Amino acid sequence: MRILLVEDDELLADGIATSLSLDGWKVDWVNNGEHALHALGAENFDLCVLDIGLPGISGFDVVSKLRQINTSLPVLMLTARDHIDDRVKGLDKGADDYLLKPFDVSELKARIRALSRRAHKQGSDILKVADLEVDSQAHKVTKGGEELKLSPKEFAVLNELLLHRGRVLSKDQLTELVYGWSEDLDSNAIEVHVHNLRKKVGNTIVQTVRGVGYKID
Amino acid sequence: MLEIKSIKRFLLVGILGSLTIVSLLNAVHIFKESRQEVEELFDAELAQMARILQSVINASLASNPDAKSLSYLDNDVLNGVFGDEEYTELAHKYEQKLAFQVWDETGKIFFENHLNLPGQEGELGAGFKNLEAGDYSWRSFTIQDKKERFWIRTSQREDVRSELTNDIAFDTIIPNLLMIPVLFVVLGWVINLGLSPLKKISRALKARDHNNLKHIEQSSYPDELRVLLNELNDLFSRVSSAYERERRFTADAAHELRTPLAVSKVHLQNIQDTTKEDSTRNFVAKSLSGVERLIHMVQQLLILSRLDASQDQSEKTAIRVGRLVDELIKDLKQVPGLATQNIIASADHPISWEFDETQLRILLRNLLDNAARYAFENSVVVVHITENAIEVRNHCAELSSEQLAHLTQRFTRGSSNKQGSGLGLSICQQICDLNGLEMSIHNRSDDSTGVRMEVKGFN
Repeated sequence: MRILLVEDDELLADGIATSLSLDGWKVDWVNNGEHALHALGAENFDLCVLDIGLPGISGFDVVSKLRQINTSLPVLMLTARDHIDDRVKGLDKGADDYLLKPFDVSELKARIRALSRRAHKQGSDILKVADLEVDSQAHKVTKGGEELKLSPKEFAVLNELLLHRGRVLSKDQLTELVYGWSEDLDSNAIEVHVHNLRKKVGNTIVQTVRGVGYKID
Repeated sequence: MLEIKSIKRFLLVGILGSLTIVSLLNAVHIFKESRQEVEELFDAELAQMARILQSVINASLASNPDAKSLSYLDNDVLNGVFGDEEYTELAHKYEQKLAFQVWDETGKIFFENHLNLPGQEGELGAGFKNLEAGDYSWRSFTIQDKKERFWIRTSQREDVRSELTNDIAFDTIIPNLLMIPVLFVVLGWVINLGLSPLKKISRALKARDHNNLKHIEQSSYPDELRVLLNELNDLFSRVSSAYERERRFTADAAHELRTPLAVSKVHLQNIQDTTKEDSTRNFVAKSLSGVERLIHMVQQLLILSRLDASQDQSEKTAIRVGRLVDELIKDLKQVPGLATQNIIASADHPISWEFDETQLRILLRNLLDNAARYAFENSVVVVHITENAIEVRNHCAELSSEQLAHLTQRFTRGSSNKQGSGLGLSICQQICDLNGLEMSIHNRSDDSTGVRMEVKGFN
């Protein structure tokens, strides 16, 4: 899952990004509202974690402008203001959830998972296809009840294809979702991960749509 | 300089006192003046009567030079006629108090009204004189007829003159003296009326809530008080803005602290999530608990600053207290360090209080949190709810009276080795103050040692 983190405090952003990366999520960080709007307009994200107290364009404005171009992206507000008016305002502007600073990272992750499930209309963190079960919270994949050892990137590719089940994701889209801006990768990286993944989960689950990309039905 | 303790009393005593003194001095002056005037009139009367006698005797002697024996005809009428009566048809009793005597050159009285006044002794001097005769003093006037060489003396008894002069003088000053009590009443009323704006402003200030820093409306007060009101309103403004600044500072500081606290917490939790080494995890757990304490304190500071600001904004609803307490007990079970404490609540019957829900929640939560936090481990905290009070008892070491007295002060903690912010009970006190409740904390008086906290005055 690719997450855009909008937070002006560098130390906090670093901590959050590290924490979310530990769960295999791809986190891209911007430190102001303008950059956030630019990134959200130009690239694909699965979720946005947005601080309210930003310099320049405030978090409230970012979320209301975002809703004009993208109505479905889940937005989780982070706020140091615990007044009910601020929370109501943020939710009314289009945010989906909020979390008050200082928070527990476990709660932040749980809320991100919940928003993600809701966005993909899932009931739980466990995705199933054929005899394969993918637990996105525990980072566990089982096939016929037996646990498979997947690398973080292989897990991310599988998870994204499952989250976008029935839709074809191009190599570029998968790259965006699995890698962030900061990582260098060669052009074959996704193909290599898909190849390794197929060896572990079986050839039939991940299908190639020639000239377009990959999908899971 | 004279110290004025009561303006009203000062004005009443000052004005009425000086008025009384001036009126009395005036009365004395008028009394003396009136007496003198009346005395002079009586003297003039004596002189005139003497001259009338002189003219009559002269006329009589001109027609008969030897007739030096005149008799006063009504003498018999006067002798023994009067009892208690002053008037008869023919005379007045006071005629006995008016005398005249006429002497010839040899000193022989040839005309008098027989009142036994002393006769001529030595050379008769002309003019006014005071005489003593028997029990009485007399005022007399004497003249000599230059042609016939006889002397005339007319006299009035001094006691009669005094009686009359006093009567007349008193009649003159009585209206003056009667005015004094009337002035007392009128001036008292005027002073009261004049001081009523002061009374009004005192009443207005007294009736104010201690948190009310709104300006006092000036238009209904007289000019003299407006200067004072201006200054007072100015003071209110300054206190209010200082108060607002302090509140904003606390609120801003608490807000600003949240992000750095979040930074520490996130990074510490990241270490915990990534390290497997026990000693590191142990250190991080301790750091995290320090951060949690800071977070709790910042949260309490925010609550305090909000309570300071929210005096007019509380919204009262009927709250079922038993249910709220049960909910809070469940919450406290989740708080690290409090999970093993047993909190048992009971109520006389299902009770509802009219209260601002947020404030009641904070008040009860802090009471229970404190009772559980500072109790012996694995001990029982007992909560009892009655119609208009809540009582919380725990088991802990007895507190000194000094400790008890300082418990509700900010940043005071009952025990230095417990993890509290030192703000919980001062928040409780603040909520009690805002809502007219009474909070008391004592050592338990039953057989266990511990603290008994009670908040009463709910309805």
